[in-house]
Amino acid sequence: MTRVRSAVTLVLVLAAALAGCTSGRYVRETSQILSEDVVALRRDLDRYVEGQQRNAARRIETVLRQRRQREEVDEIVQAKLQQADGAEALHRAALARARQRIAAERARAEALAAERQALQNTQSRLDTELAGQLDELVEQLKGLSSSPSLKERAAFLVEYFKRTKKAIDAAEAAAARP
Amino acid sequence: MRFACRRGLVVAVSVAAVALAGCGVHLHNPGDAKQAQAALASYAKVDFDGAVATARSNSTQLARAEREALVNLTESLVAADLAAVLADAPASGDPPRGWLRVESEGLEVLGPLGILDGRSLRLAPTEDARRIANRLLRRDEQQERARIARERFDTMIRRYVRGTPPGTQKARCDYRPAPEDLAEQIPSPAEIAGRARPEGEPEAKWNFYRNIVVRACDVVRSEEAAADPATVLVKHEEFAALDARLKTLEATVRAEDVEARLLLDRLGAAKKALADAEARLAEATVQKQTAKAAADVAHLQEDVAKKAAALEAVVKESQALPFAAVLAKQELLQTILTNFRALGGADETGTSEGTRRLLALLKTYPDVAGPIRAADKPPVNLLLLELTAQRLEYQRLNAQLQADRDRLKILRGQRELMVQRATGWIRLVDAAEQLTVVDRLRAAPIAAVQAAAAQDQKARLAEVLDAYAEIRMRYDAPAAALAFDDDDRRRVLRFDLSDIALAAWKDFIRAPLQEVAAYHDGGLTSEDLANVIHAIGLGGIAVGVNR
Repeated sequence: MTRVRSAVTLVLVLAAALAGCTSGRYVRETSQILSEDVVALRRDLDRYVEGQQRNAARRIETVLRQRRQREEVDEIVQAKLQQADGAEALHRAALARARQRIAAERARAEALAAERQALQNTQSRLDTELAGQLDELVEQLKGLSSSPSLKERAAFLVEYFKRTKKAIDAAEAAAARP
Repeated sequence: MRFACRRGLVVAVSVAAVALAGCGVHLHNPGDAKQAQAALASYAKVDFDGAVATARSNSTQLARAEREALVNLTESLVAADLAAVLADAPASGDPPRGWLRVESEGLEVLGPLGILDGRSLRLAPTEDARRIANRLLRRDEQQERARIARERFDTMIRRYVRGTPPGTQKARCDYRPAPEDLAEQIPSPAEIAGRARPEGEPEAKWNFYRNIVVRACDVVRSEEAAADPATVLVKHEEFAALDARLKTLEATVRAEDVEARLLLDRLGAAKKALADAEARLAEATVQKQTAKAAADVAHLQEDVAKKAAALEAVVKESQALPFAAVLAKQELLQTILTNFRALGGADETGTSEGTRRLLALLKTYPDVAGPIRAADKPPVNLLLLELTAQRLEYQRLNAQLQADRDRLKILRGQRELMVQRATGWIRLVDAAEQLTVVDRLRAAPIAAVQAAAAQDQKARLAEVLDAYAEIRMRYDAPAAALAFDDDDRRRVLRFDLSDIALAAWKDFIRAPLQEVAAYHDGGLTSEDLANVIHAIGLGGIAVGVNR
């Protein structure tokens, strides 16, 4: 019977080790929450897609309306210019000269930028590290030129006595040897 | 008897095994496992980025067409306005017609500056009016002078702050300093005149600062002020409002971008200083044997407390800036998790003194998850989840920062256009100065006046009309395009935020789904059970044999 009890215990331990009493519930709850999350995501996505489609349709209408308006405005301009003698020529000339000036100015600015860039490209990069290196050198030289602090002097003396003692010990040991 | 005993054993064990299922023992179910794998496969196929990517690409295509249509329409409207100005008989109204429209538009732009002579398109006969007009007309030259002055100053200040020893005085020279930079500004020559050399400032540096740097900065400030159109145009309500928006956004971007990163550097340095102090203390505590060593430990404890207070101060400071706060929280979480890994155990997150301190600091952020704040030793998974949440928050703030940077460019463009428009109107006013037919222009269509005018007046009037066409063409269409860009940038930000939201969904669904699938994939199969029963059965036979 002892072996039977051991076998049952083994199954219990094995079962507990494999899953634990609460895992099933945890997985079921997690699955439930997950499915609710996915449903919510799905709903959000549907709303998002609907909103995007509605926006796109509205924007397309706006573009078409603006294109039509432009055609209408151009017609009105022509009609208006016919009303007054000389207006059409004045209108054409004023717009043409304004466009020319704007284009010429833009071309000048672009040429200037290109020229500046070309000149900059001819310049090799200067060694900016030199100053830093010199500063470091100054620091080192200053360190050498300042008198040592009390702590530094004490450290030197301790080290000096240690070494001296070691040398004396070694000499004594050598002398003691037969 | 032996057989009955063995069969009894097997049945008992089988019943026990199956009964355990009721308590939650997980018996493998091939159907569930298949379904879980199918769910995992379906999830892998979900194109989370697809919906937003397609919407974004569609929107970009449409935006091009929209911008083009808007610019074309605006140019046509400019042409229509010019036609109306030329052909219509003058009449007041909204908008006015003929020459009165030109006057009305000019008054709208230049009137608030106080440089016009009454309600006409003429400069007031004062030196002040001419000076203001010249500042706008010669802005390019002035900007060049300001640039040269700034370059000279930069050379001086580099020389001052560098070297051994470096200069110790304030080194910021801003013409329009942000409120938080005011304390770091170089004083004016008048302010520094009576000051004695500050303690610790080498004499040579002080002389250089007082005589060279301060004066160079003064020149920079006055040249930059002269080059800044805001000093002239600020009287224009629309310009002042735009300039104020620009300043606010500049300050926001500086705080989000530069200051947040500087703060993060300080946080890193403070954290390292504290860790070093803690390490020194730990080492000294182990070695504590003599009275002197005990005194050292006390001193090191003080040092640790000081460094901890410094770190706490930086953390507190970061809480005022959302971008700095999110960066700081990530930094703290990463260090806590790294410490945890080094210690190697879920229960060890709060065991080291340093880690406990960092956890306490993390908990001071009000938006850190409640369970983390409530737990003395928060589980690692919770910290990892918080880190994921903070990374998403960082992405959100970063998207906002990119949008703000772009909007800053747009606002600067709009400001520049308003300056160009005012400059264009001053040119027109200069051209109109020579017109002697203004009274006739107020009574008859411009085209008619032009046809009847003397040759020189024809030329003058043509100049004025060219200037008017140029102002409208330079300003209207680009202004409409920039306003469109501003709206479109907000749209792009919404896409960015949708992308981040979907990435969050993706992360938060994947982890538990994988766990569920792994659970169903495992479990006690009938084969496993048969093996167990078989093993116990063998035990039973052995029992029988031994008996």
